[in-house]
Amino acid sequence: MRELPKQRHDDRSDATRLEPESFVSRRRMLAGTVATTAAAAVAPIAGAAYAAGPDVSSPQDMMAFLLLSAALAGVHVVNLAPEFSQDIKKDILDQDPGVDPINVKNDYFRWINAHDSTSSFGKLLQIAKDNRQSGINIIAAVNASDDSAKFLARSIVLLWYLGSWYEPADLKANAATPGTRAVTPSVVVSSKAYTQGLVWQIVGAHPMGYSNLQFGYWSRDPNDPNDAVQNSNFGVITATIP
Amino acid sequence: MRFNGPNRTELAIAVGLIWLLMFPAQSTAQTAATPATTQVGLQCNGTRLLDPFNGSLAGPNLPAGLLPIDASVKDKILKSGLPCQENVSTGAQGDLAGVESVGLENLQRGFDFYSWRTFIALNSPADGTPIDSASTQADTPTRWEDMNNFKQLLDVMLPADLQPPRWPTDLNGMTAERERLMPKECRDLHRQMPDRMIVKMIEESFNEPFKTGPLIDQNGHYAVFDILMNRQMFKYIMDHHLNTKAGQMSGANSDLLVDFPPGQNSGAEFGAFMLKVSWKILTDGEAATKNFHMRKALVLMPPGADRPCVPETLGLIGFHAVHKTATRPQWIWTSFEHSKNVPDKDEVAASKLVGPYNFFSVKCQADCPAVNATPPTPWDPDPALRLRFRKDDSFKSQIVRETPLTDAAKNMNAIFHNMLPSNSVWQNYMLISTQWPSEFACASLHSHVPGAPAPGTDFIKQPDMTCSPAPTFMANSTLETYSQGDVPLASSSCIACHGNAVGFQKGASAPKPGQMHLNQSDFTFMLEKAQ
Amino acid sequence: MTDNCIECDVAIIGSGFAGSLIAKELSQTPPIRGNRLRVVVLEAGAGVQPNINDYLKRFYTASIKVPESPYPPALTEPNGKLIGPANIAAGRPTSRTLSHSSWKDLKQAYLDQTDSKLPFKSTYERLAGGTSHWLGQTPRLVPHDFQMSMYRKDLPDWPINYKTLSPYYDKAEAELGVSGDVEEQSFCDISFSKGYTYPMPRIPPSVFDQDASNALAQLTADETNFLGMGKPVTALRLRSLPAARNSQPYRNRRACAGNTNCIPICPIQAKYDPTITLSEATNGGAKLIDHAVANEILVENNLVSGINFITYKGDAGPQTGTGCIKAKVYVIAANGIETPRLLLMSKNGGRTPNGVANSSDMVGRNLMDHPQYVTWGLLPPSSKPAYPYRGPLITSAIGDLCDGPFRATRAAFRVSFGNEGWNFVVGGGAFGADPHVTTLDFVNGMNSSRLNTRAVSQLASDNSALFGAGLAETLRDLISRQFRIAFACEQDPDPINRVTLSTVTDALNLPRPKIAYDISDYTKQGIVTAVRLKRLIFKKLGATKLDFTERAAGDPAGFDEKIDDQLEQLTYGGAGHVMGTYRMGDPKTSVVDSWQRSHDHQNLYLVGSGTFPTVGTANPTLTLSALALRTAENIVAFFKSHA
Repeated sequence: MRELPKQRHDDRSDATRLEPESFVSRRRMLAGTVATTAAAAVAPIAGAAYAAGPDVSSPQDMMAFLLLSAALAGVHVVNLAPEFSQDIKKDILDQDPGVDPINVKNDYFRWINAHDSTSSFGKLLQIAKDNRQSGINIIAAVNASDDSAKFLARSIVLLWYLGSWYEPADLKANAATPGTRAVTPSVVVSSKAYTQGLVWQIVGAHPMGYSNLQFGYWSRDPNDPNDAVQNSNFGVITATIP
Repeated sequence: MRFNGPNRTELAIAVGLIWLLMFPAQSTAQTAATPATTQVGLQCNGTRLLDPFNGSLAGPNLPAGLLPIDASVKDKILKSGLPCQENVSTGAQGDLAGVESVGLENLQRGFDFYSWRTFIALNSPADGTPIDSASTQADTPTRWEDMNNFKQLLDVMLPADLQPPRWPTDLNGMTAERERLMPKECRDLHRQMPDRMIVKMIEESFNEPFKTGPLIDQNGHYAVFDILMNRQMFKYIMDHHLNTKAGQMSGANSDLLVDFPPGQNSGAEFGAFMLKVSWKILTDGEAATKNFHMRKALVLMPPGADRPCVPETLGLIGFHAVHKTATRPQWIWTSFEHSKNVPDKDEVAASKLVGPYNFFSVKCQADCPAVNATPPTPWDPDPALRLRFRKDDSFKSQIVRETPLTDAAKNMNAIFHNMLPSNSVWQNYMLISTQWPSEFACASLHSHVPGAPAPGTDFIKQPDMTCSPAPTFMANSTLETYSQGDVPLASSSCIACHGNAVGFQKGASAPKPGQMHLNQSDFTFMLEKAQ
Repeated sequence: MTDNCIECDVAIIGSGFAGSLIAKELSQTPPIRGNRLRVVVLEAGAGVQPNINDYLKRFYTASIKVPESPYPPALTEPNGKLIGPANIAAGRPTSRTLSHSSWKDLKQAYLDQTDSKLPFKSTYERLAGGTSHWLGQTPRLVPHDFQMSMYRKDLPDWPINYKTLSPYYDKAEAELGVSGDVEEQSFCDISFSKGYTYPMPRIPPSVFDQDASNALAQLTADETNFLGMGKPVTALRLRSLPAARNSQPYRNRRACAGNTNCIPICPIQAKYDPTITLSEATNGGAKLIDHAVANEILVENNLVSGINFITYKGDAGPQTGTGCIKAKVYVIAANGIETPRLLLMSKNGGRTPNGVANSSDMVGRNLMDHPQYVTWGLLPPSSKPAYPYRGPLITSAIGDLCDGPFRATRAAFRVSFGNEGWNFVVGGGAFGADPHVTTLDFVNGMNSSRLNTRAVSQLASDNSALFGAGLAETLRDLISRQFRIAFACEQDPDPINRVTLSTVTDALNLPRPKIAYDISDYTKQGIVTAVRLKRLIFKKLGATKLDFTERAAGDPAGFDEKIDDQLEQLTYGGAGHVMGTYRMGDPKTSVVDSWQRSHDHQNLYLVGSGTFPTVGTANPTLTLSALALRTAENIVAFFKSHA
């Protein structure tokens, strides 16, 4: 993964690359799911009602979804939307989520919408919008919300981590008694979703059946001892660890 | 090959592009070895050139008024020469490009433009004539077919008794090497007509990658495949002794990180370039239509008890061009096809068939072979049948393109077809797509601190191997016929598949802490063909 | 029966390892008296596909990624409902039907184990290429494996020894493309032909292999006394396991990229599977007929006179017709359960009531597996992580314990070190696979993995349900320390363990196989020793208090043993090895000779691991491949000598 995804794409070498001020350095992006405090003093959007329901083609809804997912999964937005880059002059919700060749975020957004039998997706997006300054606040607000929203949030995290969909109702049933040992049914969303599961990346590996590494890599350490933790693969993938 | 001096200087544009300089040595046989230049073979143009077309190409329709392309624009582009690297932009920083609404589409457009420029430059006549000149014919030898510019893989990965391969810079030297490697079965025919292209077949010349099967045309003939490399690739291979298995396995190479030289604008470096082409055997009737770029050739059949050397007229049907550049260390993968190879699946579903096709029958009824099925076994060519698959021509491949071209690719094709003369043979060729490494936050298990690893570690700093190539899948209907699709790893994706290419370096199986121990071969399967 | 039979020289039933190897050898044999051998292969299941798009897509989208998940016939209908084995034309046992509620349920399980004491837990595939879901391990049997009577008088010896088989091992390794190192494999008296090198260099060991080997490099004789090796054991060396997995480009196939998916399917075919050899056979002129289930072997005048088969279409039928095949030589290569099933089904109108080739009454008897005792744990926080889900599923094993004086009293075993963490072992396999189960635990406050306790997770509470950075870090920490170690034990032959015919049928109305299976005290004592060794290994890894090995409730394979005053709840898994059911030896007590030719019928060969009289501890594939190549030689000799 590189800094400043957009800038890396063009054909010019490092020496000639321009560095417009509006692009945020990776370090600042790692400091949280939102822009630094300079741009963060924004009031929650009041009384937003979802008459039509979350809309995958609305960049605001998509950004809210990415913020929600990043906060809940503890994974940086840029891992969920690889084309995302941040213009600190704009509010986080007005950023461009971008389109990448795989674009699994769109698949997930549509899937969640289609499987949201309790209409809680809109509520979760609203929580993200209202708390977009802080991932920790998003988590707190989700935990404080009703069961339908809370368990949908868990389904969303599992979707990003595993590429599989666990129905919120099934999760709720198995969470009724803490520490339950039980089978929880699931369905794999698609081949693509399985190969984009994040938990494998987080442990320094890859989904079984989908390696993009080379012969012999397993006899070597996954991390460069030269890299400090925040530069390690894990650090790059996740938000700041408190 | 004549050097066309005056014409070309006339066409120099204001910005001072570096023109494609053809190598001037070949004018007379008596010329001694030419004065050494810093670069041999193809020259490239290091000036950044973005496409000047107004409007979005990503939608279903071409922007109104875009065609016909203005003559001066057309001239500039058709004669802009071989790009040293891709010239692309997301549209930020005030670039000319950036008219597409999505960054990804902008970049794709830049790559597709680069691909067409590359295709034009490589398929321009070898003698320096412009591609749009009236004298350019369907059978005019192209730059990439010239032995000064590209060399066939089999002439590099030679058996021990013919090693080492040579690539002199003078015509006499190159001709002598060609004679040296002429198969004995072809010698007589070659003498009768010395300008024919020689294609030496091995299994991979008729059996698609990983033995997925041969491709049989509507005349019942095998399609023939060939692989070539440019001088920069050749030099790297020779410098590092990768042309033999023993060389690859030598101690000196056990820690070699195979890294072919990249092309870049700065310094007008061309970098490593490889080609994979597919040919159709043309009947006299097909040759007369001049719808194919064609060459008379001698085709030596694969190794076996009997190896006929078969004179054929070959028509170009598929063209993979792969270029390593400084900003795309995973290389840039371009593919072109003859427009009449196959229909795509949407066309078949809508019965919008405009035959005849090279690898699809519109006439068959209930007796149509299964779509995209491999031929019945046995697959090996029978020397008695020369390059016919079966004596009774009872099987012909029925191939459909699984993934239709995007609107953007079709529009770019329309633009370049508009710029080419209406009677140019190149009207019959189209870009499928360009696959390029997007490097979008990929599954990157590599170091983020540049520089050498600390002593005592063997951590490898490699470019990310697959890193979200765009588009994710790509297949040429003649070269990856049977692995079309969208299943990760199983379906054709240039970068995903070539990312698995390795050579024969020994150390990789006996890793010692602190040492590199690699055997990756920088995205090419060529090294594994060493004997 | 019509006279419209397919005629050929050699008919081969089954296109798995043995069938494909023989087909290729025969189809590439130079003409004998001007004629090439005409070979026809019948395959019960699907044919060779142009690509693995469908199989891999099925795998990727399977919610339970068991070994059979990529391959047809489909296990469930689109709505998820299990398809009953009575409705499948060429069914097979599956991992999903081994639970305590399903293994005896004839509506779910293909094998009839209703009268079996313990479950036979191995599965196989029926399609072109046979059991392509194999892991790819190709160790050789060691010399003493062929001569077990030296340890126990009641055990049969093989009618062939290691030395005779050695050149065929070489040939099989070349055909499959095996990566290995001769020096490293020279243990337990294994020797190699002079100057022999494996086709490719060994697959490098994983990080965990290297660390485990270091941890076991210094042991005391006291600590290892219980192994009964007859000599002091002061180190346990992990050796790379030879594998049919490319470490270099080999015959137009790519080298391993560590997809960690050998079972069930390698996405880049770096692991050998028999469709490779089968395609070479058909390229050489052999004919493959798929969706053709052999249902009777016809015998006349003591020779096989033909084989009848049923054709069907789709995964589950329906039947489309019948056919027959007439050859000069017949080879049954249908695997250790399907071959005896076919032999026993062939009654020839009552003339062969006990089936064909069965004068010894041994057809179907002595069914054996390599029961696997599997253990798993966490490395302590202080040590380097295990880094699972990297590399091939297994790269190294302890092989040196596979032979020794102890074999007089207890079964030998090999110890394999997994690279896939707790993937199939988490929670005793009862709640799904990992990393899904562990992830689910920490998202949903469950504890199927038993990791979600304060003591293990180091979190503030038990049964934590997390979001955010804490979730990512917890999963990273715990999953990267997961490891599993398995002990594959030898099983001794017992004629009571057998394959017979059930009264329940498949969709072609053919009787399904019926299984009687148990494991002996000999094998159980092998497992007991494995438990002791597990304790030692875990101690050396610092994981004694992080041992998560457990037995799922109601596991039908469960048995309890008191080991050093500790009651252990034990169980075993299947290794996927189906052996012994038409063993080689002398005519009175066995079915075939060392050429795998039937004692009863001169023109009938029965190949595959069913011919093994004893099973040692090595995966059977390489040995059955070597034997198959030797059989091919015998068949060619037969044709050369017969006018």
